[in-house]
Amino acid sequence: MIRTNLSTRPFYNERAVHALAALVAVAVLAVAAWQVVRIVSLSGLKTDLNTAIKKHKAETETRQRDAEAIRRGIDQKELAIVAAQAKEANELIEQRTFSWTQLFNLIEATLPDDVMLAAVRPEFKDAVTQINMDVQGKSTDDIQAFWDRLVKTGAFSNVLWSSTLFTDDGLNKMQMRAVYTPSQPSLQPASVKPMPPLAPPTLQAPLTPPATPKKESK
Amino acid sequence: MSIWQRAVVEKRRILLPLLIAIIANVVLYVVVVFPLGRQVASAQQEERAAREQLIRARQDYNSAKATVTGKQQADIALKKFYKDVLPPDQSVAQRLTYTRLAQLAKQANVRLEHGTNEISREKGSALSKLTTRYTLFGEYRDVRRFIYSLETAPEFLVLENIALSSNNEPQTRGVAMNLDIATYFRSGNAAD
Repeated sequence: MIRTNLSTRPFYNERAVHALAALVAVAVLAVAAWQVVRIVSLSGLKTDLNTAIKKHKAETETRQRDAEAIRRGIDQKELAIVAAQAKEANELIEQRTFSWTQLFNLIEATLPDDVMLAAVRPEFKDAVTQINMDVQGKSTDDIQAFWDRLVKTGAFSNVLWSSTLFTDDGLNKMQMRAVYTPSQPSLQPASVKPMPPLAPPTLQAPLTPPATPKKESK
Repeated sequence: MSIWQRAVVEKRRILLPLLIAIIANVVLYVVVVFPLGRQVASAQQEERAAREQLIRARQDYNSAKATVTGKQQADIALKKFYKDVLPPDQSVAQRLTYTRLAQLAKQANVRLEHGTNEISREKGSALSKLTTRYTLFGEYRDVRRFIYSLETAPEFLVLENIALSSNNEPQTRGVAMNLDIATYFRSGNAAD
């Protein structure tokens, strides 16, 4: 048996070449198909986006025009006057609805025996209530005890003193100031109604039914 | 000629269309798909910007509308406040701080001892303020009752300040207090 290949052109694996070509052909077809799908979807998306952009721009122009027209119709001077009046009215309502009974209940509960409250004056500014108090005690320890108890109620914060005086008869007088945030809603007479909101500034006033005062201990 | 070269030459009828297809795919990607993708990304960005601009324009429009509505509502509420809540004039305000407070004091069993009136007006305000300073005397619990009836009274009376009076005698029963009570009435335009 002759085993020597006498051919000058040796054989190669044609099946493998065909298989490889088929594989490449399938890959090329797949990529082409993906490209076609991508072109269709991107074209659709682009059309949708362009439509949306046109729509947004048109609506933006309309809204801006309408807002301008509304603003032109507003008398700015009159608006400023109404806003100032509303602010003033709200501040008055806030003062009117302030509950002295609730404040006294709290102070009575915290006042040590040897401390006397000589004057109280609330101040209302920017929705913050500050209580100014003139107190006098037999010693600084008594006033310190009152101070600590005030803070512990949770209704008073940022307690500060502005002046203190040690009298000849041994009393310590002090002017205190604290931010007051009552936990319960304040009492309110039925005649005082809240103002509607105006932007800006915001008008607001809490409306709660009157409550009976805490039973007095003194 | 190597075996590979021979295979390519011999199978060129198959391989050439394949090569053309590959080149066509690459050209298609470079010329169409890639630029289209860039254009879509750019359009998405533009759409986002246009949407944000639209949201701002809507907010601006709503704010302008709210200003008008709020002004109208505030106008109505202010008229009601001036007409129904506050005393209409100085005379009514003075009666309020005189007769009404005397009634409340009587009901609470405290004695109004001395009172003074003062009228003031904030610059730019349409309201005048009538402040009445009363010195009252009574048992502590009655004073508390008076304060409670004052703060729950339907009239617009603002208790501004409470202070122990310097007239407190240690041997007397009860306390003397100075109370600043204010009420407001409309007295003209804010621009006055």
